[in-house]
Amino acid sequence: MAQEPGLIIDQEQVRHIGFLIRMALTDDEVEMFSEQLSSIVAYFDRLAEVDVTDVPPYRQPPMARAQLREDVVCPSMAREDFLANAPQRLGGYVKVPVVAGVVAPVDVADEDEG
Amino acid sequence: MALHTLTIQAAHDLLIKGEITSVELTRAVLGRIAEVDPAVRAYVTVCEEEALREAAAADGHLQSGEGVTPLTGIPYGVKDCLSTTGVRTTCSSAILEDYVPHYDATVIARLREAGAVLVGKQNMDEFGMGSSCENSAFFNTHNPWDLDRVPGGSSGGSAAAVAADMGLFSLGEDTGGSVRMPAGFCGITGLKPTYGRVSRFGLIALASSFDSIGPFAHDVHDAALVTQVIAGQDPHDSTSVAAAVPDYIAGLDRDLRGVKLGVPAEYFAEGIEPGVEAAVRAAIDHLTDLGAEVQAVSLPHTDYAIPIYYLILTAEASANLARFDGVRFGLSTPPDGADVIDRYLQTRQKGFGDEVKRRIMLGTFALSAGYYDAYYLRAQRVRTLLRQDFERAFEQVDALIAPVCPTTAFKLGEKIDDPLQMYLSDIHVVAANPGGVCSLSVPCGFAEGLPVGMQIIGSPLGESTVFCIGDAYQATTTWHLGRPGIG
Repeated sequence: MAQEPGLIIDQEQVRHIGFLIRMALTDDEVEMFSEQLSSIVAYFDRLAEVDVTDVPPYRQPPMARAQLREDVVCPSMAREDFLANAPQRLGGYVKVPVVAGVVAPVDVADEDEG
Repeated sequence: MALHTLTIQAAHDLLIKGEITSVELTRAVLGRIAEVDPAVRAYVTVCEEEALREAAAADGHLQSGEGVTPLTGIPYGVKDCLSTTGVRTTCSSAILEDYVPHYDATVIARLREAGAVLVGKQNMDEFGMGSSCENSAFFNTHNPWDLDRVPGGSSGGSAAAVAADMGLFSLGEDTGGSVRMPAGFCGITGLKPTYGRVSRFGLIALASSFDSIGPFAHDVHDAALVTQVIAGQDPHDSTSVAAAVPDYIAGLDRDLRGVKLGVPAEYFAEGIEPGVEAAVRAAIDHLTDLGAEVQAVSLPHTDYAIPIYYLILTAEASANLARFDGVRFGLSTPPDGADVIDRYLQTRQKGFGDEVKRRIMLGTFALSAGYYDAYYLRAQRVRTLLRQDFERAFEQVDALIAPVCPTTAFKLGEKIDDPLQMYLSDIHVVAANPGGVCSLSVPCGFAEGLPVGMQIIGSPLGESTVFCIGDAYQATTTWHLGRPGIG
């Protein structure tokens, strides 16, 4: 069964979801989204009326199920094209923020830093 | 002659006779954009130079007679979620404001191959999330029939462009009505093909199990011409359907004798405006006069289409939009943030608008521990029942007739502060996507001066049937010939 009608997505939950999706939220946003999401989910609770005993979840019909092509080598995007949209580049690579605690010395040309 | 007002078919006749050139036609469309787009605001990007270059190349083909197709030299625009080599593709989002793809979506490549001339990229609700085009991060698009009203969404720019003659056709994308609803609000023809009929490669994804790319045009014949080019299997999209693409134009025989049409009672329920109901009922009578046999049918799970659609859509969108992290492309802020989490948090806060944030949160909620069974999984189960409704109906009839929307175009600002009311404006269009069917929107009248649209809903891969019915209707009515008095 669905949650009982009137489920509230409170501000603490909104902040938690915000962290899960890696999106900072202002206090005003937290308040607004808590109210809006609660009223939307309350409307969605009408799904609880439907008897879904023995009803399987939807599956795409066979014609639209993934069909794999032959595994053949073909050209892919040029490195320069791939890098063209990167916010920061370093030595022919995408430069990313430090993700581990220790910064190892990097020995790459920095001509395309930007 | 006002070249920009031509249908594809009429322009093609003049082009092959050498009475006009593609450069002249393209200049007429670019001139029309310069004239009326400051008021309508359909285009995010106009690529004048590239368009004139493509038009000149098309004229070369037309002169030599080699490689000429029905779309050679025809100027068009596309919704800004379709990747175009070297032309900015924004999804009307701040997070992609400066993103320039290095490859074409398959539909763009096919139109390029057919010689069509791309004039620009059209405004939309950010990432396709909205029903009014008001969720664009850049500006609102206005309905050419009444500039104080919305064009519908999410492909609002694409519909407004065709309605105001700023392109002979457009490509939009329909995840839950985003082609049909703006086609209805703007008084033009639009198709949501069956899922998988048209390749999604190069489309910036909203909901991967619903997204369907389809055309906007002035009439069914033109929509069929465009569909003919963009449909078909694509090795780059594993869900594109292998079935051969029928000859849609040859199938337009305009004879409706013996065609069985169903009218679903649930689509004429409480809340439909009297002027909308009257126009759609009159269209049904007209189809009866043309020889169609009309019967009542029931789609009992229609009431659940909105929650099914929004729960599955937001779940899929929350996963699809995780790729916008400020690392490989798009907005990245702060530019020199030392901490990777901080980079994600700030990039996504600044890059996404309110509706996108709302839907990513809703989808994450629907998929999260403790709620998955009650929301996402239950929606997928009820989706099975919704599809079975359509299957049962198509055992009895060839197509279903329904309104596109319960109302005509609403005013800018009228629903933007109430997300649930905005979602409910999709009530007649969303079921087609989770239901796996195709649907054509054609103009069928006016209510208080605003266009009313009718849906002709077809079975999976039933595009030929809905085109045939729509074409027979337009051959004997004039609603599709109406043009807004703008410019």
